[in-house]
Amino acid sequence: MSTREELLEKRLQREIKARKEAESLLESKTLELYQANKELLHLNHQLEKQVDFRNNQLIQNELKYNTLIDNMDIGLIEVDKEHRILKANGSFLKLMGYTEDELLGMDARTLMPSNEFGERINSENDQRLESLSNIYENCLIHKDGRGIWVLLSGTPVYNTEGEVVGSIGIYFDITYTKDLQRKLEQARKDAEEAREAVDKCAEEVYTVIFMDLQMPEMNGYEAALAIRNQENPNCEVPIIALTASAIQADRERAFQYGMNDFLSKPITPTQLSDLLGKYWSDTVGMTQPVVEKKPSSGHLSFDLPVLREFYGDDLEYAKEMFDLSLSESEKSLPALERAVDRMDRPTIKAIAHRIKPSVRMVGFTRLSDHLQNLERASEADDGAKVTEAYGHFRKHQSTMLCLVKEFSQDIESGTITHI
Amino acid sequence: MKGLVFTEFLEMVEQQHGFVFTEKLIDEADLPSGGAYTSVGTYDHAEMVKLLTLLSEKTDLPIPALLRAYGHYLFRTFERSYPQFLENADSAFAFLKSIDEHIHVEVKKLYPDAELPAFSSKRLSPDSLELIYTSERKMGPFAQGLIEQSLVFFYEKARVSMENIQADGSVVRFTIEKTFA
Repeated sequence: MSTREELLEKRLQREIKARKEAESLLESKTLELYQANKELLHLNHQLEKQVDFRNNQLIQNELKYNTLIDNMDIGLIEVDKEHRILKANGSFLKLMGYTEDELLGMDARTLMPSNEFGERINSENDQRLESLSNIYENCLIHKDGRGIWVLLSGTPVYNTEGEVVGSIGIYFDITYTKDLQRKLEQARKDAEEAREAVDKCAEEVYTVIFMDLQMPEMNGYEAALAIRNQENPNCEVPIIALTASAIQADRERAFQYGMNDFLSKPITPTQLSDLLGKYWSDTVGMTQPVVEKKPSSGHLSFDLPVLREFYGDDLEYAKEMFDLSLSESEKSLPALERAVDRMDRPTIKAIAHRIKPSVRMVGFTRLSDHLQNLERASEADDGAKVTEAYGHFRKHQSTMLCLVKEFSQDIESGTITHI
Repeated sequence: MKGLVFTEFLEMVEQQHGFVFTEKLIDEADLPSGGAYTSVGTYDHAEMVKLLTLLSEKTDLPIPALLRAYGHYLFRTFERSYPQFLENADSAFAFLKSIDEHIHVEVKKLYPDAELPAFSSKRLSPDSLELIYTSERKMGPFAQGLIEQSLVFFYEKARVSMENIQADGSVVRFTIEKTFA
């Protein structure tokens, strides 16, 4: 039988043994933990290295693409959902004539003309925000006011949640191509007109043929040459070249192409009469009934000395010219307005050039000077001047039409007897 | 078998029968480990069987009754030592369901060598739960004690019935039905 003391001694020994066992267990667990920790640290280090490597790769790639985007020949901008410009590459800045500071934060829509194109951009942008890519032609306004034709391709930009946050637009300058296209179209029309003239010459005999040389390329010259060279009843008929140019070289060229004479616009009745007399004696001394005078000093806009020089006492001729001017103006002025609206320079230039004589021959010298300025400004790509010159012209346009109409009616009714 | 089961068992014996009784029990059991248990160690299950058999002889109580009482006792130890496993449950059923799905998973991470019983659960109705106990240790009554004490912990009243699926007691079905007396 054990005593209580012996039992206590046993308990103590057992507890000591248990403690030692627990300690060794804990030690091996600690070692395990230490090893596991070391492995984790190693793993962590490897991961950090990998992340660094990937980050560097990303930075390198971004640098590479940024350089690429900046140096490519195509304009590129990034806009947010409110159309604010976030990014623009070098080519875009060059294309539009702005500095980066001026462009960043600007509403991209202000770069577009405020007309149907502007509305188109909005709808295209909305479409892009609905995640569709698209390509279309569009007009932009350069900082100096001139219009630029671009081929525009837009793509939506997404955030990490896959939501559309804006768009990237790529702009390819096609102004040159567009110009070329328009010139080709004009050349085709001119060629058709010239061909029509040549065809008519094959059907009908004319006394005198007036050939307008103010057609681009060589159609006036070629038409003359065709009339001379092809078998037709007008082979020997006098051809008189009409042009706005008074250059000797043009004159000589006209003769080389088989034309007989040369008239520089604007043409006075005297010049015409002289010339007709030279080729058709019956016209010389043709007289017109003279109408009684009516004071027209109230019409402040008419340049009377010019009208007198042009028409003298020939009111019938004047009326004819006034009616012609009126129909030309009514036809061309709406087209001019549309062209100015969309800054279509070549069309502005062509229309201004065409109606300039019509305005001048009804005695509005100042207005015709504005058209001359408009023509020059559109040729020089100067948007601000185009707007200014057109503004001056536009202000008096309707007054002019009224006056011309009134003048023509007055001649018809006999109210005006002389100029 | 985890050392904690041994140390807590001897603790309970000593609380109920005193120091001399416990020392004699250990001495007479003639255990290979000498009874020098530490809660973090792992020991042969046969030692527990020996201790239980001897205690049964000395107290004249059947082994299942001893195991069930030990279940009650050990659950209270769990309450003190591992409250985090009880905090996440808001009812006894939720806790019992979480043994297999969550608690034993975590214990396994801490002690990869632990051999734990399986406790698959099935909700029979809003007020009754079926638990299938599967263990080669065949300690169904011990599980019963733990289940009963968990009901006490959550202030819930329920009848726990136990039925052997395998005759040897290695697979046992518990049906826990809430009572509202």
